[in-house]
Amino acid sequence: MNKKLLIALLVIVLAGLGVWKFTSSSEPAASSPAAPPASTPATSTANPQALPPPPTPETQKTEPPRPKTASTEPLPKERTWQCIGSPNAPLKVEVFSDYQCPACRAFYFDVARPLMADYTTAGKVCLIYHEFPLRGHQYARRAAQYAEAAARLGPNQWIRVTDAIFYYQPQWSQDGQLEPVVAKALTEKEMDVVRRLVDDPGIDAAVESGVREGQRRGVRSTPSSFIIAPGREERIPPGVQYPILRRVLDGLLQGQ
Amino acid sequence: MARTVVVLLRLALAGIFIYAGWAKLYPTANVFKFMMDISSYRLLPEWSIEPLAYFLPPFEIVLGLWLLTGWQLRFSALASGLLLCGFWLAMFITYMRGIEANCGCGFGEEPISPRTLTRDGAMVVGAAFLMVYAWRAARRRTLATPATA
Repeated sequence: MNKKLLIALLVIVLAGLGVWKFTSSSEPAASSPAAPPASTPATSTANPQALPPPPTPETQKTEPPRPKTASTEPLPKERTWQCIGSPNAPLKVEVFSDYQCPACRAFYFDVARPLMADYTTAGKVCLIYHEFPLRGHQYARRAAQYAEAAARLGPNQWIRVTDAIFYYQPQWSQDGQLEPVVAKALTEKEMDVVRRLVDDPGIDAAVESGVREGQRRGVRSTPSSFIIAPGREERIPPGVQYPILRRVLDGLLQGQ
Repeated sequence: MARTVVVLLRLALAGIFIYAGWAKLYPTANVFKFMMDISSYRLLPEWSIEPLAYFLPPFEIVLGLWLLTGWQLRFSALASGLLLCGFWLAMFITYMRGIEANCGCGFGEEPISPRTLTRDGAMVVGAAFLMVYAWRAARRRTLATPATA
């Protein structure tokens, strides 16, 4: 009987290993040599103090030319950019996020930020962030409006404001004091434009269109994110570890 | 009656394993989805996720084929029961920790929920029944065989 058991177990293990070897032999190495090295998400979102301070206008090294918008000039009517990265990138990652949701904060610092460093700057991924403020979160919509207003100035302004809003989430979630937080991330001139824009009905309409798009896609909770590859749309589970997402993106980029 | 139930259970479990294993492997990009699903459980170290994602689906297919043949049923039922128990425990722990993870069961987009826990729990019970029946049948056969001098 022991002999039979051993044979049966041996057969199953060998067969499993054989198929594994067969299916994984055509897979590439875990990291593509063409891909830039991963930036380690050294931040622990459980402890906001452990996070690096968000970039401010002074620390931002790659500052694009500032818009020549003065307080008397007309305000930008819409975003001039489609996504973080190249709109022609082979992969799209779409995120539906709420600024007051702690899991969205974790996703942003642990996944989205490293993704920007590794893939969007290399033109491999086009990252689209949709506003999806949840009704139960008192200040989430206002935060989304500030982010959308900053987005009208450009992607760098959006990134800086998003960094700041998420970084200081534990504070403003208590008192709703968002303006000082946003001001930390922008220049005086930019902040002036954002102040004038934030109550514009067009801004709220843009936030609302994110919500509607999320509802259309079946989003019920945040963060909800999707990888869109040619002929394929895959939902990213909220708790996914970034190195695993990297492996998936590398595999999809290599056309598997 | 019990014999018919055992045959039906065996075939059902075999079908589920073969289908679930196949659905995780083909098209090949489904392995990536499975990898992300395992990762979202936040139970295993990152280095173990990729090997597991490549190992489990073929293992499920082989197990399903083994159940289908009915050969050495007590061992195939034992292996199925242990595997299903492992899956169920992983799901239960993740659900109790409040982590929003996908089941990764191979039946499409399914967050872990009481429904998936009940369904997989029923499969564990089925595999346990199969195992007990097969072991008892084997024991009866051993006792009925006359000892050789």
